[in-house]
Amino acid sequence: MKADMRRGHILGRYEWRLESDHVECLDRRGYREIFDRVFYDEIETVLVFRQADPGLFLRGLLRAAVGGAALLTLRAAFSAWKPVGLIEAGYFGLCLLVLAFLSFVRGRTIVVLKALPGTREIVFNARRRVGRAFVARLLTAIRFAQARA
Amino acid sequence: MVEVDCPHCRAAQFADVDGPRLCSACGSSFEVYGFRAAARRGAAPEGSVVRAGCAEHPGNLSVGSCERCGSFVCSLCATPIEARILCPRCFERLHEAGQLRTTRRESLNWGRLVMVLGLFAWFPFYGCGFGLAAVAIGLYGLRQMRKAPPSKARRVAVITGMTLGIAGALVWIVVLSFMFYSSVQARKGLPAPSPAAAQPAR
Repeated sequence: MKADMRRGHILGRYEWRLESDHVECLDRRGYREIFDRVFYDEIETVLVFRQADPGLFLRGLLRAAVGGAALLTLRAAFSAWKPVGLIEAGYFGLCLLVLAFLSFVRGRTIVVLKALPGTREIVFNARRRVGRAFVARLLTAIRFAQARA
Repeated sequence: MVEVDCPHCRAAQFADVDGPRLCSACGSSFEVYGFRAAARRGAAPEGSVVRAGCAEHPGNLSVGSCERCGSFVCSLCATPIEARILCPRCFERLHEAGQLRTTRRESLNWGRLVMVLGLFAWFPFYGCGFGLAAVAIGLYGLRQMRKAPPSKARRVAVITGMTLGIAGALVWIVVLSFMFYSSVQARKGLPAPSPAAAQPAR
């Protein structure tokens, strides 16, 4: 079944699915699956905000390192070693670092669901438009469920 | 009227209209939507005999008891989490103490993250960046870990990772500086300094 929203983490990924009467969270950590759910009619408050994410910066940093290392390897493989190769790879890595910083500033969206059993968080770093669509669907589902109850 | 805490500065805010709003204390933006939670699921039908009522909702049939405090819970209060049933009060207490893995806000293991960065600091050429990142993220992680329950092992891992990061960054700064110095000397046509050149001629 396709997830409505997902977010990767270092060991696997989180998936959130909007079901008919509840939103469920599945945390896939390798072969383990941790399951949690919140019923729509138990939700009291929904808080939506964005926050800078150091994890995104780290991911960009890894990309910069791998990209720069690949460029250095190519340079070393096809010609004799010259210091100018460092400068090219440095510029390339710098561009990737700037992209990493931009994604860090762009941040992640956090949706806090305050429900009767407790508080749950939905955290994702999708694009702003995709995030807004997900939140709109969630709010519609909650309104519909509470009007029906 | 909904009372919420600002997610950035934790100042109490009162929202009477759903939608985006600015915190009056820190000026950051967030959105609030209030709902009326219908505590109806699991309610006892009209005229039925209630043998054991829920501790929170006396009109509801209990479906079991909290595995921590033993109080009766209805299907609305029963919170199945980590292979056990808890009542809302025990859930909140354990959640605030950080003893529930599935609801722990600190989803990131700062110790492991900073250790990996510290080891990557010994990666050729780019290790310098990783080392600086290990220090920056380590400081941020230590600050975040103050809010979570204390974990000595993670704290030690963060400090070890930061130390590795500083050492790796220093090594690669020295190596890169020497390479840069050598390339500048080579462009000027001067021989690079070598120990043999320093020996007196016979």
